[in-house]
This record gives sequence, structure tokens and C-alpha cells, in this order.
Amino acid sequence: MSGPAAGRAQITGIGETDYVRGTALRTEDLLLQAALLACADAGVEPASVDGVVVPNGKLAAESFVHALGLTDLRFHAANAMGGASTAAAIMIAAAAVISGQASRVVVAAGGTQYSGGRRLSSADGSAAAFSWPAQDLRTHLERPYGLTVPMQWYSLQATRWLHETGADPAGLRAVALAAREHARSNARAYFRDRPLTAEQYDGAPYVVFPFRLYDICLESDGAAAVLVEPATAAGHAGHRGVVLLGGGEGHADVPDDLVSRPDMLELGLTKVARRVFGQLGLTVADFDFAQVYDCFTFVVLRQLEELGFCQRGEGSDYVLQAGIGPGSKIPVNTHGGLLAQAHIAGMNHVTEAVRQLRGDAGPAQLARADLGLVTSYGDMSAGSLLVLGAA
Amino acid sequence: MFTDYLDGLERGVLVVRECAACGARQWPPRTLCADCRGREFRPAVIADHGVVHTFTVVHRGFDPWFAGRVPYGIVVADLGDGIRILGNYLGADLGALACGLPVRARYERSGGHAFVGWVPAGTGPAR
Repeated sequence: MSGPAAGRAQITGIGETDYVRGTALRTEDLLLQAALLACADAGVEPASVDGVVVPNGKLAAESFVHALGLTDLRFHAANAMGGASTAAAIMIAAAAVISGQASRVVVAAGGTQYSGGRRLSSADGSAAAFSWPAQDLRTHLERPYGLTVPMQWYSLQATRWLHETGADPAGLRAVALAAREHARSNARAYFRDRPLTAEQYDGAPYVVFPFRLYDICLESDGAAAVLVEPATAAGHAGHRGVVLLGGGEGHADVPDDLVSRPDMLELGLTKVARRVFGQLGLTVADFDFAQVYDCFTFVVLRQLEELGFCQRGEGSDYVLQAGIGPGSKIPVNTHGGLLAQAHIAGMNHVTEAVRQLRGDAGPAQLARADLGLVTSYGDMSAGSLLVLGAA
Repeated sequence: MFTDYLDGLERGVLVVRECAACGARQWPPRTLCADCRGREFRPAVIADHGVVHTFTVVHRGFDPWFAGRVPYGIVVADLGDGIRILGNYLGADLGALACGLPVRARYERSGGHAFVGWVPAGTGPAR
């Protein structure tokens, strides 16, 4: 689809550090490196950047001033939606360039999730140091009972989903296997050379019922960044342009507490998908691919349902029948996602979408990639969404 | 905001909040009443039995205290009136956990603090 460029933003550059498990670099090093790579990809002088948006405030905007040599920082912002911050941060950058507050905004995400000393999978209690929403509820009503990390929150939703809808738990495995299949075509994927079999999946232990080991994403070190400019700006580096056609964020009812949410299955994406698709006159069938935030396999199934790939409770049927792997009608996470490439806060979903729309995705390139969807997901199921189109 | 609730656990009762202006029940504690925006609340004891709304079984410890207690169950008990309260499953058999299972509270003390847990309805004394 196309439309007037005025009033829209585009992504003119992307940058990605190495994606690893184990680094001596700090979060600051990685975010700045990704920002510089995004400028180089766009073919612009880093000093010409005049806006900075950092999902979850991982780094102060002032740090970018020094590192990029900015002389006139006009706009900065940080948001706080956990993993859902990434796509939402790009919408903040888009709003800034569309309103004229800034003309060239870098958005950088990621960090040292594996090496930084506060691993969500560890037994050292460091998860408690994270800043979750409604900290007092966590402190008084959840942590004393051994509920401290996101995979536990979402497992409560998963159990309810299985009960309430009669969903087939085999869909969880199908998502895990599809991610590994996609990873085989991606040079950056941690699991590139390690396909997963159904037997290996089934043989892995439960970590938090009903999630087995391979339902859970990687923890990684690395960062990725994008450069956002008005759609009217000239292209710089000979890339095919990628236009941000729409997007936004959504918050479920009782957004900071799953336990007391009247409909425990509701997601922020439920609201934002309906709104954005309505604005653009789109349905999921219009998309050539979807990069869906995949911190857990279950979270992919639920987002597919809320996006309208199928009805609530039918996510497993959809992935088992239509498929989401290589060669499927609407492939999901063509880079391997957080499950099989790396956990770069979902910014790697955005960079992969841009590559696909430019026709630069290497062995993972889809034959047709004109319209793409990216979701981010985090905290107590907050959601955000981007609709990206090839110019 | 949590004082009445935590004191209630010491006494072996579940205490939620009731808006002093409109009488609406409030759980979990919030600054303002969602119905009338009132800011004064009084404690209200509620019945401590309900059904399992959802649950999980944790097989990995994410905290030194809980690392030695796996596997353990976490239950979200639906007590009606829109009130759900989370606690550990204290029944004998984790395999018996299921959504819809009738449960009632059992109160425990550990490390100087009081906790609520959930057991299948009809088993054992409350504390």
C-alpha cells in the first residue's frame, strides 16, 4: 500500500552489533555502537542526529551527545513498557519527526542481558532488582510466594488459556520448532546450526509449567538501532526506503496486574491491533510477514490470536495447520526471533523487517516482502505494533 | 496500603479494602477508589475460600529462598466479587492442581512473616 509521504516517517538506517552470549562490553558500548552503525547504514553523519529515544531508558540521551558528536540535541525520550517499549519507542521517534520537533532520531535498544549480572533466569534473586510496574503489588502479593519473573506471570495466563479455550498445547512446540527453522537462514542466529526436533523439545524439562525449556527465549548480549526520519527526507545510501505506515501502543485493562485483570487473557495488543488495522484498513491477510515478539512461545500464539490470524484459543491450530515457518503463507520471525536468534529487546524484529522490505535479508529473503508487521510485548502484557511498507 | 492485609494474615483472615465513601470493595490496594475516586478506605474481612482461577508449577528457583523449594505451586484463587488472591499451593499433591478446583486458605508463618496459601476445600484445619 502507498500514500502521501507527508505526515509519515521512514526508517533510513539500521545497525546491529554482534549478537553473543558473553561479552566484556557494557550496555552503553553496545547501544552507542548500534547507533553509529545505523548512521553508517543510512549514510549520514552521526553528528547530524538531533533526537534520541531509548526504550526503557537504558542509557541517558546525554551519552549519545558525546559519542555521536551531537551539537544540537532537540528531542529525547524514554518509555517504560518492558519488552513492549521497542516498537512504541519508534512511534515516539516518528511523532517527533512528523511534528517537526526533530529531523533525525536514533532509537537504540538491547544491552548485556546475558553478561550484565542480572539474568532473569538465574537463581540469585537478581530479577527482583528489575523495575516492574506497580512494584508494591509485586513486593507484597507476589514475591513472597516465589513469583518474581515474567515467565511465571505469563505461565499463569497460559494455564488459564488452556483451561478457558481448550487450546492445544502442541502449538507451543510448533512455535519453538519454527523459530529454529528460520534461524537456519540467519547468520546472526545463536541457534543457526542447532535445529530442534520434536523429541528434543518434548524431552526438555518444564521450567515453569506449562513452559518447557525451549518455550523460553534466549538471554543475549547485543544491541540494535534504527534511524527515523520524515518520509519526505531524501534517501541517503541507495537503500529501498521503508515507510512507517502506522503503529501504536496498547495497554490491557488493569495494565499493571495480571492477577486482578478481569479478563486475564487480554493483551495490550488486543486494543492497539484493532485500532491500527482499523485506521489503515488492513487485516493480517494483507501482510507478507510478521515479526512477533517471542519472549515465550505462548506469547506468540496469543499475539497471533489477538492480531486476527485466528480466534482466541485457535493459535495452536493456526501454527499447526497454516504454519509460521519458512515457506508458510505469512512467515513469522524470519530471523529466528528471541527464541533462536537473540534477545535484543525486539529491536532485532524491527531490523529484520527493514531488511526484508529492502530486499536485503540474505538467505531468509522472502519472494514477496512489501508490507510487514512488527510487534513488541512486555511487562504485564503491554503491547505495541508497527506497520512497515516498502516505499 | 497493605498493612491491614498483612495484619490479617497474622490473624488468619483475609482483609481487603472497602471505600469509605461508596462501599465498593477494592483489591489490590490502590490510591483511589475506581468507582467514586474516594481516597479513604476501611478494612473488610472476606470469606477465604474460592476456586483456582489459574496456577503454575515452578521447577526452577529464581531466588535463593525458593531454589531449595522447587517444585512448588502458585495458585491464583478467585474469591468472587472480582477479588483474586495469589498464594502457594499447600495441598499434598501438585498433580491435583487444576483450574476450577475449590480451595480454601491456609495461613502459615515463616521467617517472622505471615503468608496465605491454598489447599483443596475440605482438607485440614486453617492453620
